[in-house]
Amino acid sequence: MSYCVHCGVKLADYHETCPLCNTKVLNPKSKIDPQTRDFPKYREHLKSKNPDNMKRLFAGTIVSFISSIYIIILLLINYLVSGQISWSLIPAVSLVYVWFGVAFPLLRPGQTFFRLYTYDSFATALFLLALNLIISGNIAWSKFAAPAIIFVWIIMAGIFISDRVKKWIPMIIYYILASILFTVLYAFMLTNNNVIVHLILPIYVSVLVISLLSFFMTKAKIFDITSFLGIIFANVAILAFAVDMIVSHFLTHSFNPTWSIFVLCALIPLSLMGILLRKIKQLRSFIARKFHR
Amino acid sequence: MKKKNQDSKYWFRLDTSATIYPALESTETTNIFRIWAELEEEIDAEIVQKALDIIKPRFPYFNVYLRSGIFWHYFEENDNPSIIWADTPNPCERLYPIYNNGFQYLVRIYKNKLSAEFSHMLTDGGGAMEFLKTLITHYLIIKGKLDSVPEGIMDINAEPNPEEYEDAFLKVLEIEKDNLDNSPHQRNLFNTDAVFQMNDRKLPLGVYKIIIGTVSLEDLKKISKSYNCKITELLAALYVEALIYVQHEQVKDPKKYRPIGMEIPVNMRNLYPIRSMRNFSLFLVPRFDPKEINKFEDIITFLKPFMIKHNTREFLLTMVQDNCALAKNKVIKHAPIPLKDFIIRYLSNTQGHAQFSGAISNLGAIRLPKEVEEHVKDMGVLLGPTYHCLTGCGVVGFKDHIHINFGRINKNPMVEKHVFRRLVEMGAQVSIKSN
Repeated sequence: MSYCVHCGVKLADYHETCPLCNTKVLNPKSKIDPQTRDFPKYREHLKSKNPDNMKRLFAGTIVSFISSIYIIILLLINYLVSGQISWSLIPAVSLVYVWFGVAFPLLRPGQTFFRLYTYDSFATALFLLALNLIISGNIAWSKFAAPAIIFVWIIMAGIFISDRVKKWIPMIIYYILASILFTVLYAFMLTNNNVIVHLILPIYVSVLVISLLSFFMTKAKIFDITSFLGIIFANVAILAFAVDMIVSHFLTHSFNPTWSIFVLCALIPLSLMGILLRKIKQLRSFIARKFHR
Repeated sequence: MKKKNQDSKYWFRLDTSATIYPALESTETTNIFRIWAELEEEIDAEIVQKALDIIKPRFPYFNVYLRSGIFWHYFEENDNPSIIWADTPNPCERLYPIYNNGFQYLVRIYKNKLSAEFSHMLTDGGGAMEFLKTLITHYLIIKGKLDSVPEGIMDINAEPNPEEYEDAFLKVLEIEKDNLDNSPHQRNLFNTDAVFQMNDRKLPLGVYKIIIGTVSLEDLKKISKSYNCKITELLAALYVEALIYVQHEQVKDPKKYRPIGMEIPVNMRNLYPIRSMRNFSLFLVPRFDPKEINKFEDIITFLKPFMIKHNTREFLLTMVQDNCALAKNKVIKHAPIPLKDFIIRYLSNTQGHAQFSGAISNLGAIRLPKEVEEHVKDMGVLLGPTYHCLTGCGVVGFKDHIHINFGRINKNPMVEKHVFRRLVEMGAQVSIKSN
């Protein structure tokens, strides 16, 4: 147990700073032990079965039962009318997808948001692949759509993990590796690699760089919340300019910005205004009051 | 509790002091308070669920929905199963009954801590403490640590006594019918002399920072003896001193200094032999003029006679009379709920809560039967957040120490810092922890 050198109070083992004066705790003999916290850091859920779950289970069972009845009836009608199962597969697959989105969370209560999002993402990807296969007999457009959904999931997973891990370098490596993997995947799938190398990849890299830049600028608290919009506007302007240059180079083999000049003219003053906002104290405190910051 | 017929659900009115709470509920003023017990061993959620299911029928006045009528809110029987919740980083957060099977209270567990959060609409600290004591006892019995219900804990097989759920304030009027003063006592609703309230940046909506301070009872007794006052008075005085310092920092012009109004709840169970399990407390609001206070002793000199003079049956009876008269007023009684809620909200914002600079509630020493106390390491109480005061303080004594628990919705722990540093200066050993 440590003492605060400023306040003279004893501090619990899990405090890195004094809750009263924010002075850092420096005690080589006593280690900071976050496990001894008296309150959870995040909202927790109990693993045990809540009685409330009974209603959810009941609702989930009812939805499952009705969905399966519908699927069976559809398949039967299709088979009896045309002697084969064809069009009925589309509503059947759609119903299975809806069941996964609605009834599955009811039947498996206590799931975290991220876990549900994971299930839904993969279910959506599978649904698109199945739909494509049923309609056109082969996997055509869905081979682009399904990986795109998985890629969005990977980005979201990064956000969830970064919130817990709080180590930025591995997170950046994670994002870069994921991006390269997906770009290579798309390059294999597309016949015209020229588009990938000269258009998609540069745009992709610039979006990635700008997004990461925005994220870390806000995270590192270089700017406070009042100039947050300013940073976003500035980064969007830079991105628009970069995209315009890449497209013009791809089409005409020269760097001639066209539409991005108008975007720059519109966004740069807004961005400057946002960044300068922090200088105007009164307005800042008014905004801070309104947002409870 | 009334029933239309044998099969219908029972219902009852909110008690006199709870009528304003439905109108005032918000994310910043949740009207929730928490009491907790820390056991020696880690808590098993399933056993808590079993214990709660066993004791629930003994507290029919807590197992209710809050319903809206045309003129008043009322409670109606709720036979849904209760839910045990894991703890949250922000205690006393707003309770949404829709996610809690309609209940206005919830039980949370975290490691070896068992907490009960109650809406003030249902009960006050006294009633909630009885509930928690019963829950702990039955938890320990199921766990095999206790053989039977010891004396001093409610008997769950007994029928609820009507005294427990009847409006205790009306009962007081019945008891004191010979002493009632017939002269009008209406409180001045339009008091414009507002008190000082701290001005600070607020934490993001829903975040409630708490600081739990633990001081040994002996140390506090010694200090209060040196000032010749009670522990509640000492802590309230320290709170007032902190607010005076904050005012000095925040208001540059001494001419603009405002009085400090301190809300000190009084447990009416100590004055009347009514064993109510619903709200049965009133509050005193001593006002301190910062211009007249030069040192700490001045606060005590003012507060001590104030408490002696006002913490009496005679004074509190006039308050009860006023509150009941307001509720019985024909115009107020027959005003529709939306209008009533709007007026209550307006009056509370401009007159009610605007009269408090801070709040300190002392539940006193908690006594548990010896058999139960062996298994309980610690107990505590925490007041819910309030939009106007920003900071509130709950005090409770257990075994040989006292917990001084502060909760705040503003960024800087201005009051807490002052109170704990002053206690250290006075010679007490303070240990603190926070969420």
